[in-house]
Amino acid sequence: MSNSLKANNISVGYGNGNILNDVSIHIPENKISVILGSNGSGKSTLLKTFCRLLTPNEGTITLNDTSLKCINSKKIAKTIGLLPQNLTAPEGIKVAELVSRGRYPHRKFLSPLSADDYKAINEAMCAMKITELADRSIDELSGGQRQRVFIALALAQETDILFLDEPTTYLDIAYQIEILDLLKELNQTKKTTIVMVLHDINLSSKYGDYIFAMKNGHLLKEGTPNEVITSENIKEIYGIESVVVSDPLSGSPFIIPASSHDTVQ
Amino acid sequence: MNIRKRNQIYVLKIALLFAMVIGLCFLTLSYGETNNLIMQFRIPRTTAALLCGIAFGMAGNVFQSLLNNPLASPDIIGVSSGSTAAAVYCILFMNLNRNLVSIIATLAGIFIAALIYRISYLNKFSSNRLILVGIGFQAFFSALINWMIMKAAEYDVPTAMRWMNGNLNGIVTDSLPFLGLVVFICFITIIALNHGMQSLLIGEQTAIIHGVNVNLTRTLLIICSVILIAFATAVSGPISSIAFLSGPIAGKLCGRNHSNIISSGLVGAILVLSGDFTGQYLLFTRYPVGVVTGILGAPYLIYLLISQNKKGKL
Repeated sequence: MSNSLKANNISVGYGNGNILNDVSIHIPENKISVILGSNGSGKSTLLKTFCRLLTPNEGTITLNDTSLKCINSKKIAKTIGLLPQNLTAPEGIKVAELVSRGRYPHRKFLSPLSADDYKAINEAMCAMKITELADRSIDELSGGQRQRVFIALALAQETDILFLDEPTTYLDIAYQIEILDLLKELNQTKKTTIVMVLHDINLSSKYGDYIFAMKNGHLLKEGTPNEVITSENIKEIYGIESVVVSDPLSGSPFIIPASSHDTVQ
Repeated sequence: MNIRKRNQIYVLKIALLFAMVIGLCFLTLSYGETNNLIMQFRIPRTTAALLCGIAFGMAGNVFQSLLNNPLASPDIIGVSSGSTAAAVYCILFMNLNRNLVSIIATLAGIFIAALIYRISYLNKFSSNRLILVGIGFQAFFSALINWMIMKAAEYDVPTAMRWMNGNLNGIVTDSLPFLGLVVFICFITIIALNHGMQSLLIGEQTAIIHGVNVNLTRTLLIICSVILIAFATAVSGPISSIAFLSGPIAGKLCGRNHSNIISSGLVGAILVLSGDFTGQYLLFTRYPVGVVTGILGAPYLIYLLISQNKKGKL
């Protein structure tokens, strides 16, 4: 069964000003969705609201048409997972141990890890290809390895919906592709609904099935990459001129931004 | 090595620590000459050492874990000395009974913990600021305790000296069942919150995502720890360095991967039992346990201050 997650006319903000204004979104089930937008457009705020890190001032987030507020928080935790932007871990903790903590919502009161828990932990580590790192301390890993460990932590939670807040930031292009390939695989094999914030428009259209474009706290456009990634829309979202061509490898739209120093007409 | 195997080894290590605690209890009870009269003094003394050690060890570890800093132990950041100061005042100037003193000391400890937290929470919470504020409070309360002891009537001074650095002499049996009950209840509560705390230690966001009730978990853990510290302090006085040392030692012995709550409690008991045994029988004069454990704690504190300074953490 797939879970339907919706934002219904939500407004979110700290203090007086709202960062998100009257946003309604239905997350496409079993697909990879990408949230695009310029800095400060409210992408991360939207993601955090879906994950209960922020509560909407107005409107509701509903899971299968029940408001999140009315569902037991451990039950939500079995459905919605998140890879946050700032990753921290206790000093010196081993990889396998960190991943095992993702089992919290499934664990019974006071009981040790069950057979199901061990299975989920091993599967998560296999999926992120970090089984050999199990005994390493988290402090000695490279950026890409670290990112995979934290994704495995989120996978061990075995949620149907997985949010990722800029999973490829600070990683070089090889790691970016590696992480996004692993996520695509996860989406195809386990039918996990994936929603992520990305900065790279071209990677978004290559990997995303569906795109949400945000501007100034509003949802500006939504649709498949072919519908959303056009040079008119890019101008509207980011305020830049660009040429959109077809990615020769995937056929998805590929943007080339225009610069005032461009010499070829 | 897979995770299941590592968990088994962890359980084995806990069992070994437990065996050591039992062994030390027997040693302190049966050392040298024994008869019924001696046992009447030794049984409450050993029981008190055991309970206070567990209480200090667990409470210290919870503070250090929640604040993610080995310096953030209640005996360094003023929580212990705050509740000690309240207890000393109640005993020397108000002549209250022990259990009432424990309760007032607990309330004072919770109040001081909240106050230190509030002062260090200017715009954003910083555990380093909390530690510095706490060290200031610690100095203030130590001075206050000294001043009260100097003001006290002369015949009260031996009782009051217990509050300087912890002492197991003259433990009264009737204070122990209550302490035992308190340690048991807090132990169960902390263990019950342990899984949630493990998520919390990864980060507040992760804990929320895992469905942990963050505020409730954190508040209950702090309250339980302060209760443990205050009740144990009311029986034995503030035995130096136990809260501060137990967590890091347990971490070294059992690895940093687990909560180490149980192992810290056991290490605390080992430290108090062996410290008291050393103070009683192995030195030329009989020293109170707090003097022996204090000698252990001081170099470690200096080491931590230097190493954290190098890492730029302070």
